[in-house]
Amino acid sequence: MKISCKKEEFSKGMHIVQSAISSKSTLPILTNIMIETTDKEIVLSSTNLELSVTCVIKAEISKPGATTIPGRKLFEIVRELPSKEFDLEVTTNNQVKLTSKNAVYKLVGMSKEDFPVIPQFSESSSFSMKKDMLEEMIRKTRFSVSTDETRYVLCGIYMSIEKGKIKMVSTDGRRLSFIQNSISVDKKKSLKLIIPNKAVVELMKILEQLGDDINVSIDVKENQISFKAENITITSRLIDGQFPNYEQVIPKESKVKLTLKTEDLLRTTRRVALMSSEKSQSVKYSFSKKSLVISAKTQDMGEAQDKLDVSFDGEDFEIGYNPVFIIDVLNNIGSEEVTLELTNSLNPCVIKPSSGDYLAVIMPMRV
Amino acid sequence: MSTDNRTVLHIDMNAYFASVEQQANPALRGKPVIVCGEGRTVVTTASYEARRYGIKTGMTPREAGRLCPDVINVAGDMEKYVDTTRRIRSILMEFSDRVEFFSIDEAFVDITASAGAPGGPAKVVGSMKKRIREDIGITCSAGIASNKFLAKLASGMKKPDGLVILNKEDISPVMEGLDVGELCGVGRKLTKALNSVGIRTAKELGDAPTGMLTKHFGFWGHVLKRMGMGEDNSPVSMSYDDDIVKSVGHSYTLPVNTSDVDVLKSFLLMLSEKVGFRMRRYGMMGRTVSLVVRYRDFRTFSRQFSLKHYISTGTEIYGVAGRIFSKFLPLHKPVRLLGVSVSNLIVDGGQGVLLDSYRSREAITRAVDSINAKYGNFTVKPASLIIAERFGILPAPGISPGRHVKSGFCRPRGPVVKK
Repeated sequence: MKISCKKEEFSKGMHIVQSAISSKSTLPILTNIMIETTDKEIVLSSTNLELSVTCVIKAEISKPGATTIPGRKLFEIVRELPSKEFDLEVTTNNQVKLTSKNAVYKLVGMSKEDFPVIPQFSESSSFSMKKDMLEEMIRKTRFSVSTDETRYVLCGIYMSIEKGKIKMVSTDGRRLSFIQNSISVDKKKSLKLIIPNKAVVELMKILEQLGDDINVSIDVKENQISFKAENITITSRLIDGQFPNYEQVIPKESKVKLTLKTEDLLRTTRRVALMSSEKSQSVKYSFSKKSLVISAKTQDMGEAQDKLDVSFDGEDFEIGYNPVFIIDVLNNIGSEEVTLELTNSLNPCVIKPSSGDYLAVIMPMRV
Repeated sequence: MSTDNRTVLHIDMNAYFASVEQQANPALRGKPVIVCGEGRTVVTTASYEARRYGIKTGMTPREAGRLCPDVINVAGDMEKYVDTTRRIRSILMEFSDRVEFFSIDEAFVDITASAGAPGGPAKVVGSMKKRIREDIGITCSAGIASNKFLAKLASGMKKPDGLVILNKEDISPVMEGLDVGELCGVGRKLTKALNSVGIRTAKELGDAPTGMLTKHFGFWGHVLKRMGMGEDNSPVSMSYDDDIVKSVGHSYTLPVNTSDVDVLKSFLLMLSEKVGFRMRRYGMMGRTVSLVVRYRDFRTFSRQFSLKHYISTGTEIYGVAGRIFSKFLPLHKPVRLLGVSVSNLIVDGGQGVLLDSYRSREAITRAVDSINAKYGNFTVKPASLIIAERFGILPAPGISPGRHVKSGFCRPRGPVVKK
């Protein structure tokens, strides 16, 4: 293999694929990135067996071929090169020679054959959605993904496609987020899968770097999912298992419905939560005629209280929440006003934006 | 708050672990008893009867046996000691709301409010000691002074079962005869450093010019000067239940060193279950799990992992401990001891759960806990614990004191008596 590349473009590509390079691995090949040639381009790939990222970039190809090179080292080297372009050539025994102006590097590579096969997808079965929509759906659900690996089915975002609708749901057993949108896809297409949180994190990092008005094509094959946007493809293994029946935990009715300014509720909760210690982590919401008093107390530290005017005229009641759960929802809800739907101090509360098919369910704490 | 006119009590339980064991088992009373860790470890506490033979903390049970062939070796049971500490704490709380546990067997109590009562502080503390002796069955040494530092000094002056009041006029003569190394907080290294600048007694430390001390010891110079003068304005802070326990842990020395991963994992599960059970009993959850592995050659390694969420069941703890353990594989040498502990504790805040699967798991845990509380630990247990049991833990029936226990076998908790 012999190629010539632009330093800047190669660096960008390396930056993208870096996310799947293992830093420490029992398999040394996983710390490498693979470079493969096509007609007028090269494909950079990295994988940690769970997650793979590939990025296609332009290059001049003098001699086609493929090799793998220690990823982080290559990234560091390319950044420091003296010229805007460089040549890369595989000599015998997978030794890689990299030259730029007078600088010469010789790197020990490994054979392409040792590199894990990255699943390939046929374009035919894919569907696509706007990057903005995908980003929004993930942003509004990712914070309630579980970190408890003993309940691995909850360690990801559940995605389903049915009757032309795409839904995403996540729950850590104490709270749940749900979002739904219409999507232009064959109405007969039906999918149910769980995307692991690690893939979600990397996908979001990449989506954030891309322009606004682009399409992401999504494809699923066996236990793999791929997201392709422009020259980048992320492939991840799916979580194998049954996501719990989330519909049954979303309350269908409520006794109290209140509309509040998102910003007011968010700031007040944050302000008061300062006095809830990590040890008790509970903020009390006391509803009485026309007012909502939010308070928190920690032994040895003190207490805080604040009041919001609300249009409430039911019977007085109080309910406790982990403030982090409330703050997470309000930070991501993207709506000027929110509606709270409550029943009593033992049942979950539902938070909804003023428009859009989104809701968050939060289980209270004992007060 | 004025700190000059305080009356502070320091109370120190005498030979605490040994006394608790003697209290729990009448057959041990009046006899030389040593409390050791589980399995093959060192003496953590010797009863006063054993101390008469020259047995000291830190000796191996064998050395203790050589000094006193009749010594009774009891396996330590932290659970019992923490429970007893709780009971002592509630007695002390009847006398003052400011009770600060300095460690499991000593506490500071601010008795300023009751010191003015007829009979003075001595009478108050006398009845406190009486309650502890009658209700708990153990004796303690008490020191009364105007601050925590002096109170601790005073309680150490008469052991066991002493009561020393250090008045203002007593301070100077006491400090004169006291080596600096005896002061709380002055260790061996610091003593050496102080000696090298000509300070040998506490009084010399108090008389030394601050400038000289700060020159040698920096910021600590000020602290040392105050110590030498017997000054200390730190308040007796309130202690809450959860402060007594910063982490919950269990360790276990295997009856025989082994490299068998299945056996070790089974023991790991047993330890995780025990830790989980105790955490739930205290109403706690934690998110940092630590694993200690000691190899045959006593080289000891410890690793920990912090989760983002809080856990309290044996299965969850084992999930993390097992993952840490896999980092020790392949084992270089046979393992002698395993330890599991959970820290970063919070009080279970009563967070409700949404999913049925969570609710049923909680219900199962509660049911198992209540069965085990009633019929003894591990009445209901994970099946894979059988591997550990076959490898050498005797099941739970009580062993009467004095009975020989085959070496190489020990029970996971409760007193194991060896002769």
